[in-house]
Amino acid sequence: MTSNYKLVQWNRHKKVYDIVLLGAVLGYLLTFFIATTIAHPTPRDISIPVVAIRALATLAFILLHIILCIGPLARLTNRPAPLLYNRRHLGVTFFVVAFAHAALATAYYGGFGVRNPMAATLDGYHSFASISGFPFEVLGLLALIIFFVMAATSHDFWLANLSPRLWKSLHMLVYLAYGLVVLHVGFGALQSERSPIFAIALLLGVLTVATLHIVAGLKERRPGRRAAQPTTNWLDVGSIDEIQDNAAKVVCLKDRERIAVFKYDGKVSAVSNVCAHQNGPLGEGRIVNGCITCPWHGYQYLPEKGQSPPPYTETIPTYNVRLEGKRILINPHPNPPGTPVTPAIIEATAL
Amino acid sequence: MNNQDANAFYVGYLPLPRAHRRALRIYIPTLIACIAVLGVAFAFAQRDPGPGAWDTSRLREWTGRLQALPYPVLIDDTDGSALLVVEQGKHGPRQAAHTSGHARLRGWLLERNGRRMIELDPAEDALRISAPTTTPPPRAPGPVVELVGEILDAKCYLGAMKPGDGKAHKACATLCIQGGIPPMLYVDEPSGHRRHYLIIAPDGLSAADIVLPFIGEPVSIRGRLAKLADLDLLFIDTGAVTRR
Repeated sequence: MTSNYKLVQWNRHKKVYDIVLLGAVLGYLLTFFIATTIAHPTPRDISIPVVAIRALATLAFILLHIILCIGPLARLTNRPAPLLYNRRHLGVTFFVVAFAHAALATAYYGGFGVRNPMAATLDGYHSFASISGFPFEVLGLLALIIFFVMAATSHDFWLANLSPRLWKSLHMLVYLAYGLVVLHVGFGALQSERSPIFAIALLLGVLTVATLHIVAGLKERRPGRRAAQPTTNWLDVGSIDEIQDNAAKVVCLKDRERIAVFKYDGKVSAVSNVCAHQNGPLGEGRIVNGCITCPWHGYQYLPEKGQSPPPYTETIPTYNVRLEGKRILINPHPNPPGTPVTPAIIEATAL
Repeated sequence: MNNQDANAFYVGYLPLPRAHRRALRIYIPTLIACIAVLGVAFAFAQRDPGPGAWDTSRLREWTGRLQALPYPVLIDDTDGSALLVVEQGKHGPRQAAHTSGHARLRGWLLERNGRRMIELDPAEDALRISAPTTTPPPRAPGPVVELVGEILDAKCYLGAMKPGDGKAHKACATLCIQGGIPPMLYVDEPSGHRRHYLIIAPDGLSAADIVLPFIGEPVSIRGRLAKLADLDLLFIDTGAVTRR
């Protein structure tokens, strides 16, 4: 949480994460070089800069798929949460790898000649009207620009100053960039290479990303997460028996607003399901040390106040809540972020 | 899994729950193994770049008759074969190489399937022409043919860049031909043999402007055949190239 800004708020998990990530990146590049040397010995060897361009390209392709799959996987089960926790470092690492691929390809294929390397790479007598002549490099550049904006604004400083909603919208552009990468590979490498492995890998990658997002989306829309229709100003959102201690039920309103209803210490409180940090799903979190704790990055809020514990300053909207027997009733009109609300007390007879 | 493990909740700045530690011990090695397998599979799946060779370890000298048009070609005194001549980088030969005559050249050899090229040493004395002559552009007396293949720059294809063909290499090949490297067509014959043709404009000069929009793509190309030493020439008109 942010009482001030540091370049990286290091802790043991982040250090271990980054060491494993760096080892995996270097290990992959080394593996690709060694395997290429074995598979393509002299005199039918592949030029070393081309091997480097391809090693970086395939690594970026793999990293992008891991980044896109972690999110929905963590929605389906909490076990991959440690992989999600430091995903922005994975994202920045991916951008560095993708940028290195683009820079090396531009310098090698566009350099040493009579034109500016960028101009030579992007304006090589392409034809937008034909598949074989389509300029796949332009697609890659557009994707790289989006990834650059995402990497450059990944720090919490930008998150706070752009507002979480705008920041989230900006970072949703990753799906547009992913589409551009798929086309970049389809119009480029797939037309240069003959092995079906590359097409199969691309197809499986797209299917995996799409399937995980659809399944995670369906889970969020399952009937148990929907609220009953309001009869008065209050919504009946279910029974206290449906909620485990120190956990929440997520209620989806008609206008797609989501409310997280937490049960803890014999009380019930309701807050917005959207974390003020990166719009993480608070309702999939837990009560830890008396605070609602976001499953993505551990941001915490006092359930009765909708505020982070001092000295932190994040706030979220709260909702008025009351009980009728075991039934939980919520006023669907949110209070301004950080408004204290008296929790509903679970009577001993209702337990 | 006990109830405590089932309800385990991960928070990045708190100690790792036992259930998550166990899961990570499976996830991380599995993920790394999958990535390594993909790396090996991608590396082995790369297509064969061909047997082009660029011997930068040894400067050599050649003597022969330099034919300046359409692209500078040295007819080697020792065996009468033709060697294309280019400069370092993506550049055609220096102005002096556009004078025909008996010549001595120093440079590095590029070679693929018997087709050879000299990359000139950048020193001024790497090209000496002892008896300049005037040679008219070659003519195209041969039959009209229609060939299917790919147009590329001769230098990368013969070994400067491997692979030196295909869509990924299109921008590079275009830049090379813009810089004066001769355009070449390769054709895979049904027998499995690959033939190479130096592409020339109908006036016997460079065909760069005609072929530039079609480099690195599968094309049909119509033209007349001719020979220069052991080099196959293909004379083409504007509009002779179509995408396939």
